[in-house]
Amino acid sequence: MAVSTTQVEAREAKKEEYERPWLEILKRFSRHRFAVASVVVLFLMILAVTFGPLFMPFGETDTAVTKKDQPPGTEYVVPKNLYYNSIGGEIRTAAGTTLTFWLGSDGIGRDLLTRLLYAGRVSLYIAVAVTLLSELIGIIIGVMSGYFGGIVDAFAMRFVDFLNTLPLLPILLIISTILEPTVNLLILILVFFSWTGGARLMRGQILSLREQEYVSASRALGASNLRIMFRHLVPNALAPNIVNASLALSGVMITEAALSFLGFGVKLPAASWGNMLKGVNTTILEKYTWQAFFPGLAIFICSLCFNFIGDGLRDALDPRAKR
Amino acid sequence: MTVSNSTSEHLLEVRNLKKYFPIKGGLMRRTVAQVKALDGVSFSIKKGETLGLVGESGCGKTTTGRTVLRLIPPSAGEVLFEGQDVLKASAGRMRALRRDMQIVFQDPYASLNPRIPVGHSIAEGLKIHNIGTPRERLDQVAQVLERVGLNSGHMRRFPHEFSGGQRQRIGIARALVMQPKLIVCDEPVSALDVSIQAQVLNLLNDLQKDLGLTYLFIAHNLSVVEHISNRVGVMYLGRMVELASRDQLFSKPMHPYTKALMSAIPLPDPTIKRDRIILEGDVPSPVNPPSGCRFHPRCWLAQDICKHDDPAFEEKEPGHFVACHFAQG
Repeated sequence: MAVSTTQVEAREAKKEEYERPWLEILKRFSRHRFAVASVVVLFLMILAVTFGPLFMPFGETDTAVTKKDQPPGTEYVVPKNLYYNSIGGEIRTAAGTTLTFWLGSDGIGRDLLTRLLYAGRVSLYIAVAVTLLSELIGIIIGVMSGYFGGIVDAFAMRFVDFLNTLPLLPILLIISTILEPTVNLLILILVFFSWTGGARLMRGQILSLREQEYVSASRALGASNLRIMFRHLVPNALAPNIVNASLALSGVMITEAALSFLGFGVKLPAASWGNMLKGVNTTILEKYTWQAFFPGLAIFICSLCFNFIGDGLRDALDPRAKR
Repeated sequence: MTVSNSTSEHLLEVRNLKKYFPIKGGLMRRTVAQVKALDGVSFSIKKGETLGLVGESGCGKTTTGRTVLRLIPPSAGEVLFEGQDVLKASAGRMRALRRDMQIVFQDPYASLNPRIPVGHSIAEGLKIHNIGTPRERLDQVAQVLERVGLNSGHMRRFPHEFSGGQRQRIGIARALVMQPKLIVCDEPVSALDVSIQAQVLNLLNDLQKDLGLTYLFIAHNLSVVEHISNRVGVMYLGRMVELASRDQLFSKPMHPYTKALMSAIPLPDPTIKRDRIILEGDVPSPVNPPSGCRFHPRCWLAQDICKHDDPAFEEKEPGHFVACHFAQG
């Protein structure tokens, strides 16, 4: 009995000691209304792009040849014989059924809503993966560079300078002729070129923070370099990187669009929010506004959500923030 | 707090400690000059004793404290803690040594990580050295918080929720929880209000009495040093110029610099008249210290010999060390 009681006590103490900081962070985050709303919106979006396409009557590349550039809400009666010019698609709907282009159709008669949902999968995946990976690498290299200084710092920062001078597009052209471009390869390459900003930000923060007395105090207690860097320095230096990451996310979506133009990014006919915007010109903007509006809106909502979440996270991680 | 297999009665011995900070310049970032922050400082501290270090800003007090703990690497010299050379200790040995040597910092605001609840800050040392279970650590933190006059419930709070004096108590608690033998107090009260200063000093005194602690107490306030120290060292421009027991030093200072400092202590009675010794000029640059005795450009006793010969740090009276050619009582 006695043993079990102390065990329970110990477990409770452990809970109190270790879980409380996270609860506090969650509590502070939940006070940020926009951030909470953004989490909900983003969650719904992820839900929609994950499961939405399963319920769509159209396939990603299904083309209704008679219904090019239709405005939102146009109805489409599935013809008797040839109903779609489907590239690898299958016929899902019986002839004579009336379907609706809820968000209109694009220049070759594909349903915009369907493509938007498929595109969301790949665009969100790329944007989140690239941003998280490059911030992670940037933070690790930045904190080591700033903390150790000297040769480590000189080497890391010269490498950052070197990467920043490389022209991205020609190099990608060369890579795309050597390697078969896939989404994951694209992510790796984008990460390779985009961790430098995060590294610089982190290094700058560390340079000022490492002289703080709590760092000396921790060292006097016998803390290892790793502990000082990741327990004391990184949490205090994270705010600019969080903001940077939330801004970088939307940038990645646009970059991916530019790359798909070079045969690197997401290749047509597969859709991404970036390449749906890519073909937009003045004619489309004037006459078929919805073709540009909806992918643009999707990117806009996403980056707005990530920005709010970034804000909320930054404040939630800072115990000094106003209640 | 018993000490095993130590032959010396001194807990800490510092011999000829030097710290030169390089000044880098030019295209190749070569070392063009050196700031001689510490230029041959020697002293020792007995167990249970408090050695006060005084001197004006930039004389190397803080550098001494940090070098002794190896928070900054020294350029030369020896630091013996219970007979072991701290400066040559391996990484593993050093970790073990750190349990016994702790530090309390000057700035109670900067010395606590603002993002970590103070209980975690205090428990950090225990965690690093794998002392006890989480539950036991919690108990120890609670005990030590109450020992320094705070409430054990305070451990969940963040540093910004405390006043300066309270934070300094937390800083002391963090050092104390390791059950150290030596605590370097690096101007622990100079950032606090006078009323709080007294509280913190009394706390340090009580802790010393109860736990047999040894202090290296760094300050620039002579009254504070007089209050807490058994012996006092006076530093000037990276050198120790006088070292004596508190009573000897305050009743019979021998070095002219010490005399000048003494005459500047404010007296609470405005009707008392006394002769103040006003020193001419500023402290010379530690990059290019004066030849001979470092104090000679500002000394009213200086003769030719002072310009050429560096006075030895000698025991002029029992237990009273002075570095001056014309030391007098």
